[in-house]
Amino acid sequence: MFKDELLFFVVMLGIFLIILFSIFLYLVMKKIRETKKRESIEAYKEELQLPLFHFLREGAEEVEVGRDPLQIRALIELMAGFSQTFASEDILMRIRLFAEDHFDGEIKKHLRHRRWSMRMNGLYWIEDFGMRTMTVELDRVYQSRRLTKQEEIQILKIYIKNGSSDVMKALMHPKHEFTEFEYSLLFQALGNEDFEGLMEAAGELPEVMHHSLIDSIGMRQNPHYAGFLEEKLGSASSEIRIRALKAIVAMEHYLPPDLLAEHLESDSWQERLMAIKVCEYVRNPELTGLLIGLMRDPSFYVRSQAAQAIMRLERGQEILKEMAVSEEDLYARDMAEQWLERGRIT
Amino acid sequence: MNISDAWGNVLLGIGWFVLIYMILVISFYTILLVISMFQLRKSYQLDDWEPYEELLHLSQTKPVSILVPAYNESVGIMATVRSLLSIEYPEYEVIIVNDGSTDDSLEKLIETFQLVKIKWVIRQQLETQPVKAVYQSKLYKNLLVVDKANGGKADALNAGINVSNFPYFCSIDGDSVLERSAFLKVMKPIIESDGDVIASGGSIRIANGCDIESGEIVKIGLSRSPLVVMQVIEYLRAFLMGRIGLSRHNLLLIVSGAFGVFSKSWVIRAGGYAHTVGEDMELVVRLHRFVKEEKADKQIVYVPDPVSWTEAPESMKYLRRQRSRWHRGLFESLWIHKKLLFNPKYGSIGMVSMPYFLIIEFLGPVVELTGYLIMIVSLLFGGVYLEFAILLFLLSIFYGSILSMSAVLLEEWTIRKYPKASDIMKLFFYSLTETLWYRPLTVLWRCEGIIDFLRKKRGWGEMARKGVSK
Repeated sequence: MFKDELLFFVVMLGIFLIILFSIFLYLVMKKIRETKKRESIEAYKEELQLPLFHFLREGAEEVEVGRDPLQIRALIELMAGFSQTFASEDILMRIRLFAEDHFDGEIKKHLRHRRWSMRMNGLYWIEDFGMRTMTVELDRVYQSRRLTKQEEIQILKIYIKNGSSDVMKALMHPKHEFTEFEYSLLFQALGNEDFEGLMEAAGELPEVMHHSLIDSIGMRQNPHYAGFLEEKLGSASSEIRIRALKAIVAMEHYLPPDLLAEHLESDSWQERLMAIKVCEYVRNPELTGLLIGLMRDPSFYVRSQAAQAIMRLERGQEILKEMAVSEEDLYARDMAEQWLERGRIT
Repeated sequence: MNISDAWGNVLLGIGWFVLIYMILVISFYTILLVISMFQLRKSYQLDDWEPYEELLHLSQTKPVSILVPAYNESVGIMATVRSLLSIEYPEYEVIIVNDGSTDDSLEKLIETFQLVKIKWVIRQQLETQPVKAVYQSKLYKNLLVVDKANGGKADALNAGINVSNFPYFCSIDGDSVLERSAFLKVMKPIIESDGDVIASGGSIRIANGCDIESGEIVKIGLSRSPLVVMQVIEYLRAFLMGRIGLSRHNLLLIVSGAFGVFSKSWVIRAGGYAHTVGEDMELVVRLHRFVKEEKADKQIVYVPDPVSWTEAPESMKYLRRQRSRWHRGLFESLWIHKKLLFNPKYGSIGMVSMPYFLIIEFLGPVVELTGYLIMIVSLLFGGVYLEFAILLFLLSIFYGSILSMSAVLLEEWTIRKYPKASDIMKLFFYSLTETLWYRPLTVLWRCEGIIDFLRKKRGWGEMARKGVSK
C-alpha cells in the first residue's frame, strides 16, 4: 500500500543526504584551506609589522609589496590597525598614500563583491585609510540600486571626510530614511565649514535632523555655538529645551542662575533633571534653595540628581547631613543619606 | 469490518495526521532556514569591530544596568562578574541580585570584590521580596550586589530593576560568560532605532568544552560528552534557524533570560517579570501584548552574533529537569496570554507567533510521541502497518537529523565560531544520529513537562553546576 510513498521518501532522504554530505565536504575542505591561508596571512603580518611600523613612523624605506593577495591582505589588516592607533598627520598621510598605491585593486574587488559584508569591509578600509582615489568607485556604489542604508551612511561619511561638495544635498535628501542616531553619526564627521553651513540651515531642517544637530553641538563642544543653544532654551517645545540643556551639559557651558532657575522649575521632569546637571558644574550658591526644594520632587531621578548636585556644592555635605537628620520629607531624607554614603565610597 | 480492521483504520488515521503534521512543520522550518541563510550569509566575514566602534564614543549610546540573578551560583558567579567587568561598553553598572542563596555566594563576592554595605534608596516600581542590603564594591564603583530574601528568578530580576540606575537593563544568568563586544552588538539595534527597538536578545552557546580563564573565552571547543554535543546542535538549530526568521518579521516571542536587553520603562509599564518558570518568554509575550494594546510601533529583535556562553547540564537527570521545566514555562506563557491566540487584534503576534508556539513548539512533542507510539504498534501489527512505521521513521529523520545537520552547516557557512574542522565533523555526524536517541528523549521530557503542569508542579528544581571558568 505504501510502496510508492516509501520509495519516494527513501529517494528524497538519499538525495538530501547526498546534498548535505557534499556541502559538508565542501565546507570542511574550505575550512582547512582557509585555515592555511590565515596562517600565511599571520606569518606575513609577523614579518611585515616592524618594517611597516618604521616606514610609517620615520618614513623609512617603503615596504616591498609583491603580488601575493595574501600579502596584500596582511598589509591591509596591519594598516587598518595602525590607522586606528596613530593620530599624527604625517603618519596618516603615509597610510593614505601607501593604501592608494597598493590597495586600490583589492578594495575595488571588495566594492564590486555580491555580498554586502564584503562591500562594507571595503568601505570601512577606505574610511580608515582616508583614501581619495576611490571617488568614481564610491559614486558607482552610491548610485547603485542595491545600495543599503548602512552602505549609504558609510559612503556619506567618506564623502564628508573627503570634503565632497555635494554632501549637504545628499544629507538633506537621503536615499533611505535616517534615524536621529544616524544623522548624529554623520554630523560628527562634518568639518567645521560644513557644520557651519548646516547651522545656517537649522531653521529649515526636518525635526529629526534638527534634534541631531543640537545633540551634535554638545558632542563638538565648541563654545562658538553656545548662543544658538541658549536661544533654543526659549523654544516652545520641551523636547528642544531638554536637548539644548543636554548639549549645554556636554560642553559645560555656564548658564546664569536666573535662567537656570526657570528650567529647574519646569513642568517636565526631564528638563528639571537636565537643569540640575548644569547646576553640578555651575555650583552657584544662589541655586542651593531650589536644589533643596528639588530633593522633594515627585520624580525619583530628579531627587537623586539634586542630591548629587548638592554634594558638589561647597557646603554640600553639611546640607545633606542636616537633611538626613531633620528633613520632614522621608524620600528626601533617604536620598540625602544615600548620597552621603556614596560620597564616602567614591 | 472486524475489530482488528477498525483498530487498524484508527491507527492509520492517526498516523496520517502525524505524517501531515510533520510535513507541514518540516516545510515551516525549511522556510525559516532559507530566510536565515540569506540573512546570515549577508554579514558573513563582516569586520568584527568597525560597525560597533563608533558606539563606544557617542553620547547616544545609552548606559545599561546588567542584572545577574544568583541563587546558589557560588561556582560560576565569579567568572560571570569578571567577564562583565571587562566588557567593552561606555557606561554600565553590574547588579548581582543574591536571591537568598544558601551557599557562600555572597561571602565570596564580599571578599573578592571588597563589597561595602551602603544605604540605597530603592525605587519600588515593582513588588518584590524585601531587600536586606545593598553592597557596593570598593574596587569597581559600577558593581552593586543586592542581598534579598528568596523569591525566585523573576522576583530577583524585578528587585534588580528597582535598584538599577539606567534606562536599559540586561538580564544575564549567573553561570554565563559574555564575549567582550557582545554588549555593543546587542545594543546596536536599540541605539540605531532611536528607541523603536525595545528589546534585543543575543545568542546563547554552550561553554562546556571551551577554555575560559578569568571570565574570558580563550578557546572555543566542544565537550566530549555526547549529551552536551547534542545540546550544542540543538542550540544552533534553535537560534540560527528559528529566531532569525521570526525576528525579521517582529514575531519573536523569546528573548533568552540568559542574555537579553530591555527598555526599563516599557518593562515596568508592562508590569515587570511574572512569577512563572518561563519568566523570560512570558515577559516578551506581555511586552508584545502591551505594545499592541498601546498601539505603539515597537520591535523586539534577535541579533545572532553576540554570544553569551553558558554551562549546559551534562547528566540526563539535570537535562531532563531543565527540558521539562522549559516546556512547562512555554505552556504557562501561552496559557496566561491565551487571549492573543488567533486574535487579529494582536496582528501577526496573535495570528502567527502564538499559533506557531502552540502548534509547533508546544504540541510538537505530543504529536512526535504519538508518532513514535504508532511506529512501535505498527511494527507489532506487521504487513502494511510495518511499511507505515518505516514511512514515519523516514520522515522523523527529516524532522530531526536532516534539519539539525542543516543547522550545523549553516553555522559553518555563515558564523564559524568553531575554529577546528574536527569540531564541525563531530557536530555534523552527531546531528545525523539525533533521531535515533536524543530527539526521542527530549520528546519524552517535554511531554513530562506537560504532565507536570497538569499536576500543578511548580518551581525550578535543583541544577548542579561544575563551573565553566578556570
